[in-house]
Amino acid sequence: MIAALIQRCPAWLRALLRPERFVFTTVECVVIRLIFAWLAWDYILTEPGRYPGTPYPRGLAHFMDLSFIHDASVVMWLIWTARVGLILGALGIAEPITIGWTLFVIIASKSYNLSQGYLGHAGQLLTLCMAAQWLGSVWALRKSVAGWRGLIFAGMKSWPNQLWWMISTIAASYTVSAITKEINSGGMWPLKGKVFILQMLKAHQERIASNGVAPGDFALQAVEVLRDHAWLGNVLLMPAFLLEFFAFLALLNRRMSLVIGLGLLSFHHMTELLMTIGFGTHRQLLWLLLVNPVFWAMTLWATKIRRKAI
Amino acid sequence: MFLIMAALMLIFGDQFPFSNFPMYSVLPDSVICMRVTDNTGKLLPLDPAFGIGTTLLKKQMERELHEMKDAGTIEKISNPGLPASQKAGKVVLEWLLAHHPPRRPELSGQTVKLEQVSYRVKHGEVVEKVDVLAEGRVQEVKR
Repeated sequence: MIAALIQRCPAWLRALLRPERFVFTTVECVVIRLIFAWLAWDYILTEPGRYPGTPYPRGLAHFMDLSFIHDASVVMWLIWTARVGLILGALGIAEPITIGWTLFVIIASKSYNLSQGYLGHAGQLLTLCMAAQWLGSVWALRKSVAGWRGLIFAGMKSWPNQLWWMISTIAASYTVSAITKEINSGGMWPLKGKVFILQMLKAHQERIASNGVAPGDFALQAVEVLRDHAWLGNVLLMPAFLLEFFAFLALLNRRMSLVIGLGLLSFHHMTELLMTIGFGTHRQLLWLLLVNPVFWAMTLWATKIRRKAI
Repeated sequence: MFLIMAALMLIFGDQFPFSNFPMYSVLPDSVICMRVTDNTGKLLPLDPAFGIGTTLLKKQMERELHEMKDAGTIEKISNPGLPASQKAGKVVLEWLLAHHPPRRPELSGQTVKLEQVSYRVKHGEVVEKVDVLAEGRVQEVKR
């Protein structure tokens, strides 16, 4: 029935909805891996935990004592070994170990900081993508461990698979975010537009309290419009919710991945305009993995060469 | 991988590195934020004055409320009531002044206030309320 419905759609929509296998070239894999490592570089912990101990354990802190992360000399050692691991991993050398170590350092340090009585979500998506990358390299071991060369370079064969798992992880995070919104708000999230103005006011007030900088004219005007027409909040929330929920459609094909990626970027851009909240790492990952300019640049270039040859 | 990751995120919730991404998943009828003012009531932007953002202040407040909940002093962390907020606010302001010396010398020795600004929707109108949570003296800075 769905197939029959799709057949009735215009050609451009059929092209968007047609499931296609993502084929990754080696060049695409290499460039994306290097950019991803560059994004992760700054995310590796830069300072020891703010307080000693983990009174409110989260993540890894449930299973092991992470208090060593409060020691500045240990932290320096962790940072540099994790960075070496990141570089070696990006180059495809002993990925299960090198990426694994970097991932462990990130998870341990962030778990430590988040186990001190408050929450933060910056960079969580990046860590999950790295976890997907690492799992891909470990998964590759089941086929090709033959001698030390096999162990060191086995991960390389799985680069396309790692990339696919990273893209799937991003799509999953947005869909899960939409599901969480529905669960936590009793299924009414897209219709809570009447109180959305409060979140805007709070974000503006926090910005002023931090830096003394008032939000831009657009944000201030938007608050005034929402004060007078609260129902417009629903107009803002509904598309945002639908975009997040249907993020899994990005896995259908490259074109849909581009559309969903650009849609989610617009959503983040709007959030920044209205609430001055950037979600920088999310946007970087959307550009890199869903919009994927590397793939489209290569495709355009290949098309141009082919046309010249004809 | 999509289904596995989605399932793990939903099952583990906010346990790093997993997250069910709960930011803004609850849109409550009232919100609060925190700010610091000087003895004349003028806003003191935290970053230029003390080198931190209001988010850190709020996280510190959450931490204090967590401890009060563990001690059985309050029942819930969100909207714990003004007296509880003032009690936590006093500790937070003490922490701010003890750990973040002022970046501006003229603040040295001044009295500052920690305020809580709350917004709520009442009969379709947005109502703003400001409560002073605590007062404290900025430490003297040697010039």
